[in-house]
Amino acid sequence: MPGASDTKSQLNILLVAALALNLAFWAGSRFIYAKWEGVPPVPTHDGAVMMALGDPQFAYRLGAITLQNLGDSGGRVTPIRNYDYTGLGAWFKLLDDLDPASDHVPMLAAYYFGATRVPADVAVVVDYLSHVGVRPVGSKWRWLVQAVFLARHRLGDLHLALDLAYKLSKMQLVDDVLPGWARQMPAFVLKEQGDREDARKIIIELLLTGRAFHPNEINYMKSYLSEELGVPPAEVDKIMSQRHVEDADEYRRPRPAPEPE
Amino acid sequence: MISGPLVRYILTAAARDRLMLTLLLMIATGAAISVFLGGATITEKESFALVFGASGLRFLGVVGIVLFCCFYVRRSFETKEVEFLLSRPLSRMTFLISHATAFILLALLVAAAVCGAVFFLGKPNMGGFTLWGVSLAVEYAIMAVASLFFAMVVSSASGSALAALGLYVLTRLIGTLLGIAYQAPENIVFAALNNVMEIISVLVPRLDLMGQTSWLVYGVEGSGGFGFTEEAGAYAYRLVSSLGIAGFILVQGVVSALLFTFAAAFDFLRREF
Repeated sequence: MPGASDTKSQLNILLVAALALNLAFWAGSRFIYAKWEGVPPVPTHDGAVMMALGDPQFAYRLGAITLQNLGDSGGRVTPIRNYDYTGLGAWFKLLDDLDPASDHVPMLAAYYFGATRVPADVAVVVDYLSHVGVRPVGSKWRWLVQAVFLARHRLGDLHLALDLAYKLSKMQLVDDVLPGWARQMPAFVLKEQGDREDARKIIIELLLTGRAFHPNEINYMKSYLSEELGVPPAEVDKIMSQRHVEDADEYRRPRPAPEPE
Repeated sequence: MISGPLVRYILTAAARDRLMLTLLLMIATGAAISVFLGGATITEKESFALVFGASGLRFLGVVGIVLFCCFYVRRSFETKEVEFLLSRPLSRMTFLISHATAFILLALLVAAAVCGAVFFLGKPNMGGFTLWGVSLAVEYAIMAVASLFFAMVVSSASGSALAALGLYVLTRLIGTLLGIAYQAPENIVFAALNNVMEIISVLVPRLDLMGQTSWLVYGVEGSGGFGFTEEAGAYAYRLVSSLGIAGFILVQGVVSALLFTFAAAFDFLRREF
């Protein structure tokens, strides 16, 4: 069967040629990646729910993880200044509509997107955090504390910071007690201090007096203290030892849902 | 009306079918991927894993049930198994209801497997988890009977599966679509489309009200329950207040399962072999 043998060897040559072609294409294509096109357009509330097959909670979690990884996936890192904060603000609003009870997006806004030094961008984050933080349920007040800090030090708007601080000091919580230091926030704002010193005080006070925080958030605050604010690990451990001891599942305790606005 | 041997025969066929085994493996894989995705978030990791797992596995389960039911029924027609079984002392109605029963039992088994996986994904709110599990079982039972209907009336296996999955997507979106339809229309075309949508919705089960993943995270009370449109009358309010959410889901399940079973019977009893 010489014919069959010839066909087989021709097929082998073709296979090697196809492999070589594939290798040549790969040599160039492996350095190419899809360019990040910036903050994606925000769907409407209905659009987001429909994309999640009618499940608003799934739509929220999907949007939240998208927001968390926005521009920072596949080994790519996008500087904070390159984000379109107007678009981000719209995403914050959409996700807040989908789940006003979760603290994932407020945490992302406060600790990550809040790191921007562009005043107009900080204003977007402050606006969002102050919107979430005035809800008198759970420990939402801590986002108002973050808004006060950002308004005071990143935005440089003393009037706005004071205004928010007064709102915080007058809050009547539904199922929590506002700590004394948070009630005295206006005085805290008026006191001339550096932003690092203020940030340090706020995080330490939150760790000492805040209740029912998610363990992931507590770990984040600890690493923020030591890695970003230079607090020695021994001091962080000391703060943690002074922290109010609560049931490990305290953060799971059902809390009243924020009222629809 | 129900033939025990036929139900056992179908369940044995399902046990031998690699699709059901693959489905169980995919449920385990899906749960593992959800834990991975949840672990990648900065906070509320278990809530993310729970929601991703519950939503993903919910859809996966439906796909498995629809594919099995549609392909099983169409294969039975193509291999003349249906003619063979009907040559036995078995009425067409018994044949159909036995298939519906077997498919519902399979749906309940898949729902149990999905619930087991979701339970171990995080620490779901127990009240919410119970209602979520019940609604998942009802949803799968409805989809199993709907698949039987489509497999009876559409002559291609893939066509019937696509039609059943299309119905599923519609059932999950029907609440939002009705919400849009009840808005004031911009022109006469939209007004007509709104009316068409409203007529279609008569036959579409409200799966959008079932299996809300927020129940798993915040519990049923913490999730706000059901809301009403401005057009809602006393009947709508009374329906929810007298039945409760669980009752509403169960009644929806019975009503839809009966509708799809009798619609399938309507076609099957008139068919000539």
